[in-house]
Amino acid sequence: MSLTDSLSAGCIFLGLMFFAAGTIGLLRFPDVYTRLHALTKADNLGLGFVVVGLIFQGPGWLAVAKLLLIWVLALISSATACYLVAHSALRTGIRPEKRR
Amino acid sequence: MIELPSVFDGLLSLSLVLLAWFALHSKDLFLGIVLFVMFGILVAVAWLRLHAPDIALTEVALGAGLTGALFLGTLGRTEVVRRDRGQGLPGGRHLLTTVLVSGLGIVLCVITARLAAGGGGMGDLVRVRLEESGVENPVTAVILNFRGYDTLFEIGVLFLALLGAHALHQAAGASTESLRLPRDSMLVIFVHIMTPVLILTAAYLVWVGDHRPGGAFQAGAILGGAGVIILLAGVPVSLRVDHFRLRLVGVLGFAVFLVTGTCLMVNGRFLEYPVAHVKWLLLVVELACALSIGFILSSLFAACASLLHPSGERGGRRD
Repeated sequence: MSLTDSLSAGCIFLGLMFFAAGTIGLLRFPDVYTRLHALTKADNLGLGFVVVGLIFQGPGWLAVAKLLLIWVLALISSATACYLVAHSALRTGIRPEKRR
Repeated sequence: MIELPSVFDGLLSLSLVLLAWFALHSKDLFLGIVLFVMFGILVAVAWLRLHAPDIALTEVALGAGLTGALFLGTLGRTEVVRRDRGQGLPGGRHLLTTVLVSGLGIVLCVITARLAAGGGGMGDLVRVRLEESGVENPVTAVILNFRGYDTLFEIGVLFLALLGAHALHQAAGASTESLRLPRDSMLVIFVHIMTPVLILTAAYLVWVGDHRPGGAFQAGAILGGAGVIILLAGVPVSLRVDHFRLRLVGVLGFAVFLVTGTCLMVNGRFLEYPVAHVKWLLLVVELACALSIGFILSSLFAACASLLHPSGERGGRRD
């Protein structure tokens, strides 16, 4: 495999690790807020690494710019959605779990 | 040696079946809707695997995005009614349904197997006559030119759906003056950032639909999404049905399509595009259709979600 291919594979693999971690967090964490925490890691960093990996494969600057734009838009959307879920959960009275 | 793509396809198909099953059988309606949205996303991936990016774009925007929003909006208006365990379909009907649905599934599998073996289809015919259509994307050529009648009637049906939704909305007693929501500042900022991006993306999709995956329906779906988040953010918009400009946007797609087709009758038959000008005519029709579809989808969401909750609350769920 050429250098770009192995770099791509490495980055995408890292991204997959973050997605896996986010999913495990979603399944195992006790309440809404910690789960949101896990999910946004998956969204931001996982997608970021996948995008970086794909950038190495990109056929030109335009494709790279589009990929980065996708990542930025996903960042904005997931941040807003995370806030909305947390705000609505707080308003309906769901309290964070206090277990030490 | 089993190839990796086949493994992926197999897992994808299995996930689709499982998701559909769980979505239909979940006791919690909210969970069912979430599973349905996931199902839509995986179906879009399936379309990609079948080399149909246009359909994948539409599926993800409409099936996973807008339909999810419509379902959630409707869910907010419903109440949970406890049902006795004993109720359900009588045994005979259950069996009949199973037999019919399985029969349909088997027929579909047989048809698909025959298609995969390279049986017929119009792909070659479309490819041969692609230059006449004025566009380079075969999907757009088929939708807007070769099978223009179908699309014309689809836009007409969408327009009828808009009328129906407005009629119901008014009947429910909700005011069409404006949908007032508590303004959530974060969501307003999000709308401020995203609306120009979405409009630009929709315009790009209409333009690029000529030679790459894209087109009027995809652009319309994105505009519909923009409308939905504008409504959810509580930005005061007036949705008066008799507002002339709104009526104009709603009917624009159908009208432009119809008028174009009729004007073309001067030199030929209905919707027979002259080869010299077909590219620009199609662009005009696509633009009008995209605007209409976007408006109709947003109105459908407004009508069915009826964001007027008595307590002023709304479910801040992920769209």
